[in-house]
Amino acid sequence: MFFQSSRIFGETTKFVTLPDGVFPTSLLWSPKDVVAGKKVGYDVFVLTSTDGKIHYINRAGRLEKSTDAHKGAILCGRWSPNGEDFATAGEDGLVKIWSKQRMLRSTLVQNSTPVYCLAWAPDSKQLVFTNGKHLVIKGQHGGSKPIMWKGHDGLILVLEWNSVNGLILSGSEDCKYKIWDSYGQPVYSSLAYDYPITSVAWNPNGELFVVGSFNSLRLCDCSGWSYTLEKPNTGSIFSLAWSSDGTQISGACGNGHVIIGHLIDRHLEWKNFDATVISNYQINVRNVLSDTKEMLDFRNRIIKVSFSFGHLVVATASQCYIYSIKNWNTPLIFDLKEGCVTLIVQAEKHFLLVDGLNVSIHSYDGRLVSPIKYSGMRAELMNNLTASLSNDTLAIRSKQDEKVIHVFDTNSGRLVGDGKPISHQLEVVEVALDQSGPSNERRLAIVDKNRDLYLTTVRVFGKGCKFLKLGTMIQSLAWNNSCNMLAALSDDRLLIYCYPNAIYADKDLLPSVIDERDSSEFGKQPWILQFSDNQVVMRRSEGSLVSTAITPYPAILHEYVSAAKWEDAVRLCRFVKEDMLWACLAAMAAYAKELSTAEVAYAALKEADKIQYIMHIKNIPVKEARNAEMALFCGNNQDAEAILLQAGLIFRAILLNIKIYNWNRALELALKHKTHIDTVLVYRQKYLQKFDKQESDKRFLQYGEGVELNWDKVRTKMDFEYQKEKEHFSTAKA
Amino acid sequence: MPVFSFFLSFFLSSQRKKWGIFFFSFLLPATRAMITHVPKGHNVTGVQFSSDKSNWSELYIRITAAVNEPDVQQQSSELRDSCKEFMDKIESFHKIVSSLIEVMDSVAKEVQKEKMKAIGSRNLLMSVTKQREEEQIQLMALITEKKMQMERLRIQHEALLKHERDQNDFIEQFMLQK
Repeated sequence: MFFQSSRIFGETTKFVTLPDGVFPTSLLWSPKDVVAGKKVGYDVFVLTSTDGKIHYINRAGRLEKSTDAHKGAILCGRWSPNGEDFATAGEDGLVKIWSKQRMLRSTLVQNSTPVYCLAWAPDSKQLVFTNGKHLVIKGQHGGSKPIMWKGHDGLILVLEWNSVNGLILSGSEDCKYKIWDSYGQPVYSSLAYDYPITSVAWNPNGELFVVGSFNSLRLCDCSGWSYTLEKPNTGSIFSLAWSSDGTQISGACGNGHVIIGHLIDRHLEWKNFDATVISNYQINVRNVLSDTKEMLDFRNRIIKVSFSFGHLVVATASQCYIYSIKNWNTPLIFDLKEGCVTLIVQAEKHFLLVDGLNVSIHSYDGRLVSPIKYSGMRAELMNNLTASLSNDTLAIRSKQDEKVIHVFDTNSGRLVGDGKPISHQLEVVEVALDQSGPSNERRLAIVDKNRDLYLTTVRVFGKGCKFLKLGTMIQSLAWNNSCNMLAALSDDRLLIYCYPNAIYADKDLLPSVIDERDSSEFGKQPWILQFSDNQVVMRRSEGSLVSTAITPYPAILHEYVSAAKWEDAVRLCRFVKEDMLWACLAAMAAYAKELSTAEVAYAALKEADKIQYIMHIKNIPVKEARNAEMALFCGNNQDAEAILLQAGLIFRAILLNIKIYNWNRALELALKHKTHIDTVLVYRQKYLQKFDKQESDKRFLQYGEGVELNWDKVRTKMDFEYQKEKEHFSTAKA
Repeated sequence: MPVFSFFLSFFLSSQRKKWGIFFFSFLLPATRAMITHVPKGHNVTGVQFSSDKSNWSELYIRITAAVNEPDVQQQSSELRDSCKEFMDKIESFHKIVSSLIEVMDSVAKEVQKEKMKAIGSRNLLMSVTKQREEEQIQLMALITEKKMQMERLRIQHEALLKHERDQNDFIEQFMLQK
């Protein structure tokens, strides 16, 4: 038995001669030292063997040290992702943890049966290991109670825990492979195949995995369904490993061969084009409308391909090619620093490229727009869910603290707002930025650990980010590529938030701007891949793509509103006669402070109270006051006050605070500007009388002492204020 | 009818041919002496040398004494001839038999070879069935895989058809409303 995990290509040379009687069971390079920020070469690799020893062998092939670790064979050895610890599991049922300095740290478990495999959690704090047919998750330092569950009907042979998506993959003698989440909840269980599963391996980016068994190699999606099955004549495949760019796979076979596989046949679609990677060096692009075909050849191996917004971005082992759909003949080419691209995220104007440890934004003419850096960045662990790009903003969920989201301006490469990352109260699992609209209204949608959907504004200054809750039980989401609509899947329903911004305009309207439909026709647990124009593309849990159309009207409405064609928008709504569209228009108009349109829209929705309020606002002669009232209408009390104070309308600001029963603030303002103290006090007194209560606030008592509270007097004073205001602004106008 | 024949045999190595002839000439008087013992009424009719000329190691000298009794002589010569004939026949029989045995031997060898071949090919055949079974299993696995893929594509196709229908319905409705 020789389980080989190293990747050596080309000429093989005899590297090291092992002492007699040593039969290696696993071979591991120590993980890259990423803390230093630069790539440090692999120095020592570790070999575990059947005689229960750990052998440390250096680069030159010299045996540095052998340590007695277990009685009987060591069945599995793994480095923790942070490179601090090394865990071994043996036939004697023990799981031991060793430090980087090769000293025994602790004996984690003592089982009565051999432990066949173990795997580290992404945070290096937990371990999952096998116990016969059971799987156990246990903290490295004890503490929390271990989680144990029955995984398979047969002996579990292999385990792997992906550090990007946090899923555990297990393979067993019952010929099944299963996927579990990090709490041991089942995600997927395969059919029972013909032979026991002897090896599994996650792709480094967590999108794919491979399963090896007797004479077969299966490539599967992270949701469990299998893309392809290959039947090489190799015997059992005992060990599998991916290359760091996630395009090649090597396997150690039972007949003594090493097989090397390449990923091909990746298929991408964008509008009327589809691109297929047909070999390591060729991409075939087809225009479906005219049925013209283009063959793109590359000198180096293709590593990553991305196709959207009219551009095909291809990263090879040394260069990056950018093709425009208008011209397939002359791509823009620039050299890559490391040639190990793990992620490409495209936006309309530029794209994000994660190349090894470098994260940068490039424009489609090949220019480097800005490099992205922040402390504790783990570029290799970014994926589509944790990084989102729009035309002016980039959001990346931090790996160190999963509650934190770093938001960058793409032009400067600096954090937006106050230069501080945004943090949420729970761990964030998915981030998505909207794609259109002005940059200061950029919205970020996040899904947290409880699968709640929140919306927040990215560019805020001075105050903390407010997360407004849009929905619960969200499985997946996607922003539309052309207008700010959001599609989300929640508990057997497909929700289209036609105007998610409604939450900033009028919260009551939010439920009515959602186009809700049953998603049971898309099978169990679908996943939204794309939301472009009027089409939502989803992937069903068994892998098939399904698309569904949504009504085109909201998109048209968005278009009118962004061009400020309010009359056209109203006409459109009258033509369609749908409450949902009216609600969208009402929210849009309220947000844009377009009073007459809002009035029409609310009238169509039969919201009398709101119309009345809008009419009241319309009667206010002062523009700033109107804006403030609109802000109040949208529920932004602070904004409303700020607008008023900025315009010098102190009286109105005080009155505003009185109206929302924010007495202390009203008094504070009155005292600060030394006006209308009596007004505040009178209103306070009336309020207390209504509820038949005595004044208890010390400040009010203190200021109330010397002031004569006369309602009529206050009334005339207020009228005088209104009069003054009117005069002031009419003269200003004139 | 008595016929006296003396068979003298000399075993001489081929290297000593000359010596043999010399020895033989030396012996002649002795032969003659022997002939003197031929009974009365008998004449020595001749001395016959019979030898395998290819091999000088053995030399027969046959001395025939003819008896002056013509009928006896005739009979004896007849007998001699028949004996000779018999001897020839036996010899040819022996030749035939030995060639037959040779043929049989070679046939046996052939048969053995063929038998081994047959056993080998039978084993091969049996393993081929097994191999085929295995291949069948593998192909079946591949077929199920393809079937699943086809099912996926079918679902996708259906979804797209539905999408198209919806779009057409929408267009129709839109045209009607206008």
